[in-house]
Amino acid sequence: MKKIQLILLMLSAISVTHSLSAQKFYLDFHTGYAFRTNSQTLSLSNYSYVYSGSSYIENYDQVYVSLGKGVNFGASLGYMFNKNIGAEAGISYLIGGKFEDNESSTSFYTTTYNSVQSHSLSAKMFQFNPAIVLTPGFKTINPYAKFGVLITSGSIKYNTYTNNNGSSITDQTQKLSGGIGFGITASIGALYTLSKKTSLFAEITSINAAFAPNKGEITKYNYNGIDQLPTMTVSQKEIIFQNHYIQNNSPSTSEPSTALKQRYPMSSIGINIGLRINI
Amino acid sequence: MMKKIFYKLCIVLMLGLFTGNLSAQGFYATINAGYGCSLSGQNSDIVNASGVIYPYVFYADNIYYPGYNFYQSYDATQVYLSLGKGVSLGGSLGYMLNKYVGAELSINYLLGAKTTGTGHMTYTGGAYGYITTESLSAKMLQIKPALVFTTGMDKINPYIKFGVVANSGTITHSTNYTGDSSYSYQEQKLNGGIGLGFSASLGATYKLNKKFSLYAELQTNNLSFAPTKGEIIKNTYNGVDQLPSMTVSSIKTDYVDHYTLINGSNNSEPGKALKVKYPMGNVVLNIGLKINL
Repeated sequence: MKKIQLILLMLSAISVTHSLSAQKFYLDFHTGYAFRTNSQTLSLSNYSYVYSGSSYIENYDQVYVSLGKGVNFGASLGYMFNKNIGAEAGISYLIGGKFEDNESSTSFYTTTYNSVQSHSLSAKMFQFNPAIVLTPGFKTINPYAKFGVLITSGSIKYNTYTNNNGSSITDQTQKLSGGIGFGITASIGALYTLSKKTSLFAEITSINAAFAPNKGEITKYNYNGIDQLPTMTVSQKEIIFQNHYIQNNSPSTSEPSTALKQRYPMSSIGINIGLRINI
Repeated sequence: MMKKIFYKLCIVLMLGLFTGNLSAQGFYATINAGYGCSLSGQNSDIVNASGVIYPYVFYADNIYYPGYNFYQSYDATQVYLSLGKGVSLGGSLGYMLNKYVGAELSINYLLGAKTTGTGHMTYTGGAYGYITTESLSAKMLQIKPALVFTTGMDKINPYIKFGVVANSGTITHSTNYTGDSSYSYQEQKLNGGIGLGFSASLGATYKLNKKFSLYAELQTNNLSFAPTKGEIIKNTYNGVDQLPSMTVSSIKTDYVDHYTLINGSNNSEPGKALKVKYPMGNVVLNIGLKINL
């Protein structure tokens, strides 16, 4: 009986050792939050102007934007070629955080006058991330690093609201989409083995990417609460973004207008936590 | 919550670093050179454009606004800017905690390439118009502490590095204008401040002997740089230096995240403006020599 137990113990040990050193597939599920990096100064900034008749005060505040900021969740399928090197392909969805600014102008001279303009910008993106994985292959706590590329696509929502002393109020939303953004990702993290089958992991991920949508459409345009979209021409509502375009002085109003592509920063540094299942 | 997770992750990583095979501990030094292509480049004011413009356009108030162009035709090409583009030279000092994990500190000098946009406008009827050329480039010193993960293989040893990058230096912004009756040139230096970001590399060392290895790596730097000071160091109009007649506020600029003006600005002090972040993102192909010390 003791011999059988000893043999079983040895087999188990061999099995565990083998599983650590041999090829194997794994699946992981993760979620996390990313902060902006490589952010840029777009057209967003906070500004206030107050005029009292004898003097005026202006306040300026910069707003740094990277649409890679936000919550993400996803899954990866990976394969370890040996205990040190692997490759994985991950898919994730980014629910981007909002960037906002506010510009106001107030005058207390003779009569009070106040005008406000605010903008907001956010993105929702699918991200595909193939990567190479290196790890020392430790048993209980196993650090690792990943390096890969990022392919991203989705939409950016750009909202503009203006209120001109209550007499004219506009509310406009533009959706920017199409095209694919590319970048490079890198992560460091560690796996904590729960059982032969499952591990928890936590990692820090850096994404260095940008996204240039190739079309835009105004999806909402209200003036004093009345929908203006039915009266707008195609060229006013739709826009095609190109790296190069030629325009004459009488562009057609029945076709989308054209403009140069605008790249939006998508870079971030984030913390992800997740569960890995060895298949 | 996030902080707790971050600290726990750090502890887990540190535990991982000091566990395992200690036989490969040792210091090493590297020297490397490479070229960086722009990554996550952004739009700036720089574009390549050509067009035909109406020479004289008057508004109803009979005033000509020279800043406004009315195009008969316009041909524009976008120019994406990342000042991380260019030649990178550097070296590092590292220490392998064991066969698989190490830490290193590297210093690089980025000799940034120029990004240029040219505007060429002619007046209707073919009359000569003007040419503008605007360019930006950077020279930066970068410090990169990083963790190193290797497979511990003998002859060809793949590795990944992950760390932070601190970056400081100077951006040169020049504008050249040549019109039918005048020409001008302006050069501005932008410096001060430190850009922070993240750096990662994927590469492999090729062992030549016990002491030396060659390596090649693909490195990505994820950062931007917002200078805190700007100064116009050259401004000529038809060849005549304009700097002596310019006010301090038009020559020098302090860039800040927030500022307040009361009844306008003071001409005898540097002007104030909101900071502008310049993209420094790149992907660099480095080759180098590793020396085990």
